[in-house]
Formats: sequence, structure tokens, C-alpha cells
Amino acid sequence: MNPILFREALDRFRGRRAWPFLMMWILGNGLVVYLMLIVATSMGDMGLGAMIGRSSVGPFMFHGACLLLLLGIVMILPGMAAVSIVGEREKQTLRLVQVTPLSPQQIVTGKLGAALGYIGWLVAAVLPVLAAPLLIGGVRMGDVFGALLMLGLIATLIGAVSIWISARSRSTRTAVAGSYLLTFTLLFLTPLLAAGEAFVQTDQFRRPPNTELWTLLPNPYIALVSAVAHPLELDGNGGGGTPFTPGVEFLLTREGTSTNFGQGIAADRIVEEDGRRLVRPSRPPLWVLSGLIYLGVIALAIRRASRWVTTPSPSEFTVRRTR
Amino acid sequence: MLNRLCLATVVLLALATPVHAQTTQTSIEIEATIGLDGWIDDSRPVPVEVTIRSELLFAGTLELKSGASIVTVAVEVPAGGEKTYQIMVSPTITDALITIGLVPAGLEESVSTLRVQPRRAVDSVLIGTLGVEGIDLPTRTVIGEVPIVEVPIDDVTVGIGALDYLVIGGGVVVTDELLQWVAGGGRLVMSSGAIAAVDLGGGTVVDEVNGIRFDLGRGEVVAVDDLTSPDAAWSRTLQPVRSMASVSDPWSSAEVQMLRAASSSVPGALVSPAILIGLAVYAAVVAPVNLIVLKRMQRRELAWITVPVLGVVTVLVFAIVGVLRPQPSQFAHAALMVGSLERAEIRSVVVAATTAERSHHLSVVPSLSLYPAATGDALGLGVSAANRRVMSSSELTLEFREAGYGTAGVIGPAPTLPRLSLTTTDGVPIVSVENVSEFALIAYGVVDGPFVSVAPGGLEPGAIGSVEVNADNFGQASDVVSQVHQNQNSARWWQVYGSLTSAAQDQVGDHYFFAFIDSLPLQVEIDGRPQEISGPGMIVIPLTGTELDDGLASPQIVAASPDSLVSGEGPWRWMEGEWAILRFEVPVDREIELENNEEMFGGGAIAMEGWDWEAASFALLEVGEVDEVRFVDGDGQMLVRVLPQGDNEFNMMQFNIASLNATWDSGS
Repeated sequence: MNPILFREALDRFRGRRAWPFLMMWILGNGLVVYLMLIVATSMGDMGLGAMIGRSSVGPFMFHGACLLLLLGIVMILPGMAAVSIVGEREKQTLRLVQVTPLSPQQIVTGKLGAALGYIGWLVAAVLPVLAAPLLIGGVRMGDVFGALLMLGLIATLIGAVSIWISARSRSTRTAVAGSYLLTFTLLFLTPLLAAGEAFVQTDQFRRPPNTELWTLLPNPYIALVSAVAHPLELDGNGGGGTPFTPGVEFLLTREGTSTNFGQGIAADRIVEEDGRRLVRPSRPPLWVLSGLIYLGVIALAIRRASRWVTTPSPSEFTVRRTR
Repeated sequence: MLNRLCLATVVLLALATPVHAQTTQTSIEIEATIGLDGWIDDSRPVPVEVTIRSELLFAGTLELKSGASIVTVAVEVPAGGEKTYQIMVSPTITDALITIGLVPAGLEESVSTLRVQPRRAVDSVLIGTLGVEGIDLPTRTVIGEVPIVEVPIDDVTVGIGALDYLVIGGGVVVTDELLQWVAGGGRLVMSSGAIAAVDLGGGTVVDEVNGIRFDLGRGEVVAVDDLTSPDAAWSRTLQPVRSMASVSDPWSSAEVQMLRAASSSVPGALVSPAILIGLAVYAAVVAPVNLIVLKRMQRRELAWITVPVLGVVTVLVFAIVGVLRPQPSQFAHAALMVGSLERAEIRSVVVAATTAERSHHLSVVPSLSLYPAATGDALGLGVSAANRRVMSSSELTLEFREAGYGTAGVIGPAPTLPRLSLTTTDGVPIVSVENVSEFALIAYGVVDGPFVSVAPGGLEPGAIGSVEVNADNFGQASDVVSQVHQNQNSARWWQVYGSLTSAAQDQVGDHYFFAFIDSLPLQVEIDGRPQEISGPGMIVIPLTGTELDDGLASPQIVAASPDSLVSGEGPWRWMEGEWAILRFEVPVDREIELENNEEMFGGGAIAMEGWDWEAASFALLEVGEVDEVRFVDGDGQMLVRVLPQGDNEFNMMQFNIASLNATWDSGS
């Protein structure tokens, strides 16, 4: 086991705030998911009644829980990962770590693993909350695996980038601010950039887009929706609307289709598989493209961060001794 | 050697399979007819007749697809033979193109497909002809110049609900089914000579001046001297009759409204405070209790293991105890029982909801028919709907691919309904109700155009009650009933009984007796086990405005300019278009006044023209007293054409049909 990761794991629950935070985390998530249950049930009742509406409660809550986890990652992870290296530097313990036999990559991956492990532990703590949609029904295990895979990738991306910022920052404050800024840019600025790109691409929205909206590919929300909603299905997206509906509509538009009222879908664009009506893909799945981008950025961030925590050369020690 | 033999066998089999598929493809023919030569009746299950001819033995599945709605039937056709399969489907399946395909057993792809598009006579008068030769029908009605479409038919048992008129020759036997069609609103035209041989039972002669006309339920039988004569009074006989009230929006159809009522009758039990209590207990165990234990053990780092383990254990406890797990499969139904001349009919929609992939086999007694009801994207829902496999006219299987819902329609003779009698006391119509049915009526009353009258309280089986019909309360049945039962859960009342009321209006028009039943049992077999599904029910028995004689008649739209739009329910309809023809049913022996309450209903300024029966043309009609001699025909029919004042078309919100009324002195 990575010694950095091991040390972080031992120290994680020493603080006074760890346990109250865990309790708040469980109760907060529980309350939000319970509210989602109320909203989903009411929406189902208003449509075709409680019994049919029940089928859409599970997907609604699952999509809501996925968004909740995404928000949890976005809100918690940058703050944790951003202090990991710069914090050592401020406490003047980084040099001690650097002179151990650990390679720079081990230091960085150890710090990243510790941050991701804690996030994973928090997710495990709210398992009863997240399992509710599975118990209610209407959620496939494939959707759950897709969501966990993409959430893991997004968490790794945010963690790696935050650690890179941490490694090159001189103060904790700068590192934390930089990490949150970059994460929020990824989540909220990319849709605005994509709107601008679409504006140019579609001649001021006069015609449908015919090429990829590249600026939207790194967006975690759309990547998550794409991973869960793959393969794109015309029915079974959770009834009258779920937190994923805007994303699914975008993905359908990306494929040149739509389930909006009055917008038909050409018969040759529909494939039937196990009785489900799927959209025949005309482009690579968006989550694959996003995943490749994430993997590239993760590798680059770890590499760059490792360079910042590289053990100083012996010549540097020599010069200092001379002085 | 053995390996080579196996390989050769595999290669031969692989080569043989496509050849067989190819042969099958070229040797199979399918033919399909929907409704009556493609014309369908929106208010009833639609018959689809598929004939399969095959040179080779064919065994497989016949698939009917319309959007997400899939209906399948197992088929087997002998070599060189042909077979015809008749399937009843929901009218909502016919909103789009229907793809009919044949899938051989063991394959997934269809070897032969056919696409059919159902037709609706929205802007025309549909006239069926049977056993009449040399008939010379006009191309348009004189009133309103609505196009006339002639549909020659050879069988009155299939799909005649789509017709507005049926003209029959002297050799055609008038069966009970035909009379039932008339009683439900059909118009039967036959020669005067032939009509003498027909037992019209409850029919009453309403007009002997313009040829003999018999009122029979909501329809009529018209006698014409000579059907083939060019001088036949077709211009007088054939009128625009199709009520624009007929709904083309699948969401508003009777079947979907009943589906909603059935689904809403099951209260949503998912939201429970027990969930919050469970979570609070879990949070307390995982955080403080866990902390205290680990602190005493001086092994806080074990929280990495204890917290996930506690999480998994709690999920298992939730799953076993069932805090969040709904029943794996749930069934409900809602029924509408429509009283008719002699035979009442029950129409019910059964809804099943499951939490996972499974299938359920449903069957009903042979006197009832079971068919695939509304589902899928006809409703614009993204909820997964079950495929339906039709086994026979009383059996089908709901095949759920995942959590979702499935529907089945039930239609057949209804049990005994309450008996009604109409009297008038001091000029006030009173409907006496003798509850000879086996059901307790939780509320009952009479809808009379835009007004509703409700009897106080319910009516137990065997009891006698009465409803005083007055014009005190605007509204529909469900509005007033929910007010009467304020202590009930009103939202649920509205969803259940409001939906049933909407379904009833589509079936019986604007004047009817209604009664609600809280728990109507439906005997079905589910997966071979007899079960009783309970659900809400509504009894409706149509009445006519003149029967009630309360001094007020609200109109029905019988024709409108092409591309007109009508929205709303019952008499509460908004109109958009160039013109519309409205029909009022009024007494023939009273002074009639026309009222326009456009200020009360928010309608815009309109011009009116009345059909002058003597001059056979429209003439200017003013609000106020109506010249009955000119504008009211022998059977109390008054036709009014409404037009915009000036050159502009109506806008939505500018014309409300409920703002126009014909009134007379009823003596009350």
C-alpha cells in the first residue's frame, strides 16, 4: 500500500469535525432524497396517477441522487485535494516526504488516493439513501455502474487537477480558490461556452447543429447523463421529467432526434433491442469522448504535479550547505 | 475426421438458414384492414383484421406496432393455406401509422411487414351503404356543405361505429346489434316499405311531415320512400351529425381518462415518515454510536470499514423490511357502465404496475372481451410500457421488460343498473332512481348541459332516491360531488372521479344521469388464479335535453370550417375557426329564445345565422325570440351557424360555446 495513502487513512478520523460532518452529510443527503421522493411521487400522481407514476419515481430519484453526488464531489473534493501538497509545504513537512524513498508519482498518487478514498467512504456512508431508487424499481444495474464509473472518473479528474494546482501554489488559500474556480468553470462555464459555439455553428440558432459542440465535452453533468442514458432510449427516461431530462434532450438533439412533442423521429433512426426503442447512434457516445478527455487531463495533471514535488537535486543541497 | 464432419454440418446449417428465411420472405403475404375499410371510431376498441397467406408452414408471431405500443399474437398458417386473425386494439394505437409484421419463431426480424394508416372522418359525413344498388348520394350536405364519403360495406358486425349514417336495402335484416348501434347515436336510413317489418321497440315517431323518423336512444331511424330515386330527399335526410366533441387528443380519450382513474385509485404509499425515522436512526448509529465504540477500542481508523458495512447492512434491512419497496406487482381498474336502450355496457381499463421484468397472464370470463388498451407514446410518457400478447378475445399476457406499467381494456355487458323514471312536479323535472343494482352508490345526480344537480347522500342497493333537476349549479359531475364530499381527499376525488366524468362525456354527451361507485369488483384470472380487482366505477345513463325539459338547451357542434380547433370538455368548449354549426335540441311546442351570455363567459362578438328549414338556407338570426316555424324542425332540431363579426377568424378565448343557450318556459 502507498505509505502516503496509509498515513492519510490513519489520520483521517483524528479531527474533531470528522464525525459531526459525517452525521450532517448523511442527514442532509437523506433529507434531499426524501424531498425528491415527495416531488417524484407528486409528479407521478399529477400525470397518469400514482400507480403508473410510481414507475417514474425510481428513475427520478436515481438521477437526482447522481446529481447530488456530483455536487458533493464538486463541493468537497477540491477543498480537500487542494490543501494536500501545499498544506505539507506550509507545515514544512513536504521536504521530509521528498527525502523519503518515495517517488514524486507515489507522493502525488498517494495524496490523490487519500482524497478519493475519503469521497468513496462518504458515498458508502450514504448507501441507504442512494439505494432507495434501486429498491423502488425502474433503475437498471447498468445505469448504476455507468453512473459510478463516470462519477469516479469525474472525481479523479477534479482531484488530480486540484492536486496539480496544490503542488504549484505557494499558499493554501490560492490553491483552494484556484481549484474551486477550475471546477466551477468545468461545470458551469462550459455550457455557456457551448451556447456560444452553437450560436456560431448554427448561424444564430437558425439551423440545427451538424458538428460536435466540443466545448461541452468536458462538462461533468453531460458526461454523467451520457454514461447513464447510454444507449439512448426513446422511452423509459423517467416519465414527465427528471433532473437528467435536459441532458437527455441535448444528447437526442446531438443525434439529430428529439422526443419533444411534434418532433418526429425517422423510422430508420430507431433500433429495437429487447423490446426497447433505441436511437441508432450516428456519432461516438459522448461519455467515451468525455472519458478520453478526462483520462488525458488526469495523466497530464499527475505528471505536472509530480514535477512540482520532485525531490530537489543534490546540487541544490550542496549550494545551500555552502551558504 | 469427426471435427471435419462437425464443421461441414455447421457450414451446411449456416448456408441453409438464410435460404429458408429468403424463401419464407417471398412466400408469405399479409393483408390488413383496420376498422371499417380504414375508417375508425375513436370511442371504441378498433378491430384489426389480418389475413396471412403462406406457401410453406408458417409459425411465429404477428406484431402490431405503433410507436412504443406493441401488440403480438401467436400465429400458425398451414402450408399453402391462409388464416385470418382479428385483434381488437385501443383506438389510441391508431393515432399513428401502424406497422404490421410477421416474425417467424426463433427469429427476431420480421419477414414481411405492412404499414397501414387509419382514417378518421373529422371533416366529413361518413355514409355506409349495404344491400343498396343504384344509390345516388350527394357529394356534400346541403347544411354546411360538409363533404359526404360513401363506404360500401358487406358486414354490419365490424366497425360500423365509425359511420354517421348507414343506408340499408330492403333485403338486409335489422339485427339487435344494428339497433344498439342506432341507440348509441347511429342513424339508420331504410326504405319506408322495409321499415314496417322492423320491430323498433322503444322507438318513437317524431316527424311524419318530412318522412317517418323514429327516435331510438340517441340515434334515429329514417324512412325514405325510394332509396334509389334521384329525387330522394337526401338533402333533408343527410345532415352534418359528427359532434366536434369527438376527441382526437389521445390524452383526452375515454380510455386514457379511465386509465388515469384506475391508476389514481391506488394511493401512493411510497412517501412515509418511517423513511425519515429510519434514516435518522441510521445516521445516529453510524456517526455518534460508531464513534464512541471505536474511541473506546482506540481504533478510529476502523471507521473505513465499519461505516460501509453499516451502510450495506442498512440497505439490506430496508430491502427486507420493505420500508421503500413497493409491491412487486399491483393491479387496479376503473370502469364506466353506460346504460342504453335495452343493454348496458361495461367498459373498464385494468392497469398493472411492476417493479421489475416479469409477465402476467390476464383472462376474463368469456362474456367479456379483453383487448390491449392505451399505452406507450400515445400518451407522451417516458415510462416503460409492457408489450401485450393477445391469446384470445378474453386472454392476454402483459410482458414487462423492466419496471413499468401495462394496460388491458375490458368490454362487455354490464350488470343491472339503477332504474330511472322521469316526472315533473311544479314544472321541475325530477329523476327518480330505484337502485336495483348490486352496488352502493356513493353519490349520484344529473348533468344537464352546463348544470349539474346532485342528490343528497348516497343510495344503498334496493333503496329509492330522487334528483331534482335545476339550473342552480354550473359544473360537471365531479365538481359538485367533490364539494359534497369535502371530508374526502378532494385531490384524489378529482383525479379519480374527474377522470371518469371526462370519460363519460365522451360516451354519452351533455345530458345524463350519473352515479359513482367506490369499489367496483372485476373478476379476472391473473396467472391462472382467480382474483377480484377493486376499483372506482361510474354509471351513466344518457338522457336528452328535451326529456328533462328544464327550459334550457346547450348546443353541440356538428360541423365546423376546415382546420377548426375545439378544446375543452362537455359544454365548456372553446372554438377557433371560420365558422361552426351548432345544434340545439328544443321542444317543438314552446316559444324558444336564444341567449348569448358572451360577457359572462368571456366570449367575443359573434354573428349568428339560423337554418331556415322551409327555405333550406341560412338566414340571419338575432338573440331573443326565435321564429320556431322557420328555425325549428319537426323533431325539435335548431341549427345555428356562428360566424365572427367582421372578417377575422375566431381566436381562442373569443368564443365559448357555453355562452349560447336556447331557453323556453318549462313551467317551473
